[in-house]
Amino acid sequence: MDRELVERARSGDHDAFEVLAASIVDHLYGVARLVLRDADRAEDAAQEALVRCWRDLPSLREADRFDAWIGRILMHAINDEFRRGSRVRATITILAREPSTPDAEAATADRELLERAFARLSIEHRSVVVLRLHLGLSIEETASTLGIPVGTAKSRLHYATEALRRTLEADAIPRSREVSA
Amino acid sequence: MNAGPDVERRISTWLADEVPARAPDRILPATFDRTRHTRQRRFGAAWRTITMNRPWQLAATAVVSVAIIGLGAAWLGGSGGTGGPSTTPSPAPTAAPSRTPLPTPTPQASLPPYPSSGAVEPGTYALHQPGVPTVTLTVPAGWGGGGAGGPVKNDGTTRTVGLSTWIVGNIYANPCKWGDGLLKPPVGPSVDDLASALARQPLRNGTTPTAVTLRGYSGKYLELTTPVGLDFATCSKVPGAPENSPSYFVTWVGPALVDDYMGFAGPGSRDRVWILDLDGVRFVLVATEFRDATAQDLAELQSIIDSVRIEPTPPSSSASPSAGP
Repeated sequence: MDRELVERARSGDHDAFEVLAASIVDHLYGVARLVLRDADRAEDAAQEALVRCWRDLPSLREADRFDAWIGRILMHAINDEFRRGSRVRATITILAREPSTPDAEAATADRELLERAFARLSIEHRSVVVLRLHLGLSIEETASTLGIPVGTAKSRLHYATEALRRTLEADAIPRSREVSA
Repeated sequence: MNAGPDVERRISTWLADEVPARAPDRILPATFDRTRHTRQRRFGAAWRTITMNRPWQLAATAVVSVAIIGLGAAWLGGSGGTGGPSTTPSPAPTAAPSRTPLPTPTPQASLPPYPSSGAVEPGTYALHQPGVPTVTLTVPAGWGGGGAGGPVKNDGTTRTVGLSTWIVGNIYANPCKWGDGLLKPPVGPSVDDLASALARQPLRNGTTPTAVTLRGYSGKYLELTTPVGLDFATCSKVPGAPENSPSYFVTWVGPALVDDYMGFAGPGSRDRVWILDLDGVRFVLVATEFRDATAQDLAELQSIIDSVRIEPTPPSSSASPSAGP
């Protein structure tokens, strides 16, 4: 992150903030989309995170720590958005149904399995998985971003990956039977 | 299906496939529509640099207090002029306030806006804050923009001095434990309501509000200080901020009860507060002096105060204080 840009935004330069926001909005939205599994709510969470970023930037003491700081703000915004409760939305999901090879068909099935299993995880577990396995944060960084103890982060990651593993394994058996039949 | 040790890799791959490459275009315009009308939370944080021992803190506070009382009285003595020397604060009004014509007001439209950051060239500016009536003022050399309020000098040090304008929605029940919530029931809508509530606010040592007239507008004046001995580290942090973020001492919140916080304070700092009725809009002007501000700093602050002209244009929204939670 451009340190000078962060410092200018921190000192109240809205033009600098606009450049800063444009440089991070895709990332914020992407993470929110993965955790919330809802495009509209992810949009709201990303916007809220950016507004909080502007509002609270003066409290950021070290511009070099902006990335970790905005990550923490984003996760709070995601949590808040999630806890606002489910909203009535019309969601249309269009699934690509063009598996041309057994590998492609398996991959599609894999994605659908993971999609369903991931959606069944709590918001806390999904957050750990996204930070650790998508963003590649260390377990310590993951814990810091979520404001939880490292042990809790480890425990949540273990629970989540085990749940996903069990889902994948459970599906592997009937699909094997289908292949052998 | 192999769901062994590579399960994390498979999840990672799936997440990488799932994440959208771009955010919808509408997020940024919607965000900026909000942030352009949102004042940054800017809290004076000089207490973190306090190194003096207690006797020196008390001595410094006493010295600053004497200077402030003198300067405050000088300004209070004026009722529309430029604030000539006086030792007599405005008496309580006994009749309907009379409007003193503004001394050749400068049209704000012709003035440059006061910068929100960086060093500011000496000159006359229009100070705009979202939802707050505009004031015009003249700053000497050495002052800068303090995003949250207005002119500020020595920002982030124990010598900080600054001037800020506000519309207050409600005050915190406890400015140190502000995370515990706002005053309940909330402050009423009148000038007197706010002045009385601030005078009673814990930890601020508010003086008895006195009647004042400033630039032709009547209202109340009081002084607030922050305790020298308070351990600010025990105060609330910004919700959602990292664990190692600083704690703050926050006095009030803006009319929307979010996004606009008066938390500019350090041990022994003093706020001179003018609460004015601008044709139905409760407007607040605050001159803040941290305890190590020099006589020169305070004289410069006073010169800015003396230059203030108020443009009584009601805020476009939230013109009157909210009676929210």
